[in-house]
Amino acid sequence: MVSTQGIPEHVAEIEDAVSAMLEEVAEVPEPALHQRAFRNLVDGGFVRSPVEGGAEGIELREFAAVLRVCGRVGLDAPVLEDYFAQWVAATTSSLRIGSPHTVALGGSDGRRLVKWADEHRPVVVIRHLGAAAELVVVAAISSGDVTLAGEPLGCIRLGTTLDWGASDLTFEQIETQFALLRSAMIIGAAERAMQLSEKYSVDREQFGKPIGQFQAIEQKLATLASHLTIASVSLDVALEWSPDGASSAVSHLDAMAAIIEARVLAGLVARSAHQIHGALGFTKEHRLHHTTRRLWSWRDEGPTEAEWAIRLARSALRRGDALWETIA
Amino acid sequence: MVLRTPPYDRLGCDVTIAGDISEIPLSNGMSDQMRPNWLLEGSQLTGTAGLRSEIRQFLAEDSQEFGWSPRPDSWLMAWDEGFSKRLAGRGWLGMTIPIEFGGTGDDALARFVVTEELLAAGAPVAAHWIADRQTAPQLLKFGTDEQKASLLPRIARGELFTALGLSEPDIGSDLAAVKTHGQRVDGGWRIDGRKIWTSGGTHASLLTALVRTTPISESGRKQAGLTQFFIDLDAPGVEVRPISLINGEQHFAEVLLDGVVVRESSVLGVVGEGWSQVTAELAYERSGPERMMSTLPVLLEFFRSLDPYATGEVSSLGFALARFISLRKLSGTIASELNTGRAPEVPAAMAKDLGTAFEQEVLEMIRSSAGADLDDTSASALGVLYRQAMLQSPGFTIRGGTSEILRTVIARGMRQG
Repeated sequence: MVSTQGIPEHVAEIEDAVSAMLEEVAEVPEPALHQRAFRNLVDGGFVRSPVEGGAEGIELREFAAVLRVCGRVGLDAPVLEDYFAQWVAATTSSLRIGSPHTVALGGSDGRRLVKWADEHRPVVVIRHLGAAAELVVVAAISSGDVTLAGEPLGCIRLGTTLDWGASDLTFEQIETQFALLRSAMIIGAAERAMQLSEKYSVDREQFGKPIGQFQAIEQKLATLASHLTIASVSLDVALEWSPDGASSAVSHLDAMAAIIEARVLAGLVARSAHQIHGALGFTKEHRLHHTTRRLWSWRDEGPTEAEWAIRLARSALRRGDALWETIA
Repeated sequence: MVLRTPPYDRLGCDVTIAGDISEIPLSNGMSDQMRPNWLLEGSQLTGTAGLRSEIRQFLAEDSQEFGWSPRPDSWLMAWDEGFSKRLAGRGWLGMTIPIEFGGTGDDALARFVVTEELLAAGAPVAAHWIADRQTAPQLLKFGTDEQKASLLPRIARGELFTALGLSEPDIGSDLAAVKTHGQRVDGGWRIDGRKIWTSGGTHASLLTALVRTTPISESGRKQAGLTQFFIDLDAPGVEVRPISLINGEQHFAEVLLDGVVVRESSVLGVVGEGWSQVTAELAYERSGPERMMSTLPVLLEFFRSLDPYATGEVSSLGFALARFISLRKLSGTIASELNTGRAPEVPAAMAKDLGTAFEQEVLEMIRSSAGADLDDTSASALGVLYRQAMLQSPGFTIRGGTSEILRTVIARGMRQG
């Protein structure tokens, strides 16, 4: 019997609730406002990963809805990193995270700059251990550097191993899970850039009418909307993926496809949104850059979309030459 | 206030900013919305494995026994009445026709799965395509009991093949402006005019034509006063002229209607309501697997030809796979929405725009990757399929609503949102 599996209703409710909480933060460059909003999220349990025997948290699928909203409003806080540090620690038998941490994936020996890391926020470094993954918790200091999006970077203090654990998951599984969650933020940011662009095309008049009434702009917005839709739909489904394969309807290929689409979308939306906004949107004072710089920053995090595309192709090829049977 | 201080004067233009930028108003309406109403929530079809397995087995055996092979764009190009009957025999034709009218009374989701499998296999489904996919749903929605009883069982058995009379030589995208007209005569209607791009016109027996029955001057607007008629393609006054496409094949026809008389019982639905009837199914027509899978047989053959451990460049293949995987999710989501009675017209237009673009782009990707193996003289299976597909490719983004029109539909839908 063929049936449909959509987004669980309670997930949509969480998205609603968090939207209301974070509404006032959208693109307002006041650090105190963002810090307060982040604290409210934390206090509300929205950044807590469930731990056996510990306080109630929210599951990955629900957390993705929180992230989508954070991406939409451009919340200047380590929401994803904080949750993920807890989540990935729980995939080991012994390591547990009780205070705020951030994460660094891969982090070859050379890379020492990590988002959100500082004296108060150590780093859970996730590394290959053969085919599996190991977690090493290290201390950090702030570096004064920032990402394209203006998110703060800290420096790992080598030789300060605070804790360690071996994960039940492979590095690839952890990396995929993280990229999926980041993709939720990308989609949220893309939604916002789209929304701003639509609004601008209605409000801004040239040659006697709103610029959105010119076909060139109208078609550009339509194309953006189509790409946003396909990436969003792909991710909605892909977020059902879990490393243990519990959802057999969603494969690792589906997850990689959604990750790729989100990154492709990020570049397209950022470029098009700026084009539609003209010169005004290109200023620091205008709100657009809060969203577009995040799109540029997040799409460059970890493997690029081209690298994910290579993995997807190779993964499909390894499953044999019957592509349709692999996908469907 | 004109800002000519850096960095503005380095932008190379005179940037005039009136007032303070931060004062540019942003309405409260934006934050009220979670997602725009055209942004569908993605869903996934489940429980499909058994059905897919059954059909795949049938297709493998059938192609072996009856000697057909995968063809790109098979839903338009591969007419095989024998296959249609065999498919009907297995209960995979007329799936959403109720049992009382000879169908299997399945739901649209099961039919969606069957459609995907048929197209992936490049199976010869063209003969029954229009009847099964367009005419039957229209009959179920708008047909009289007599029409349903007379036509649906024959469609479900793969015995009645139909064609659509919509476009005219002068009328393409602006469909409501059709000039073929119908006049009341004793006992029925007399129809005069000309239809073009009628797919399967040379082989089908029944045409569903969109005809103007009330002049625009009387009805006030062009969408009013149009009527759908069933016209027997063997009737006096009907002349079918095949059209050769660039591949030399004749899958489309012109249908000339010169004083064709039809009975009142040939009216489909309500006189004057033809436009709303024709547009009622747009979301369904634009979002189906056929809008993204026409060239899949080429991609599947290309994939088979690859060495899984080769070290060549595969990122473009990966991008194509990502897009196809995502397109299927979109098509399936829309099918689920349709199944619950909703009509997501904007997402459907998006699906067709992106899907048909994919159908073309995947050929370019294969060409770039396959390189010398696709030399124009290549007799390989891939070469044959690729060339068949290339000759069909311009049609993908034109038929059923051009991409440019679709984007206008999307933009309009977004504004209404």
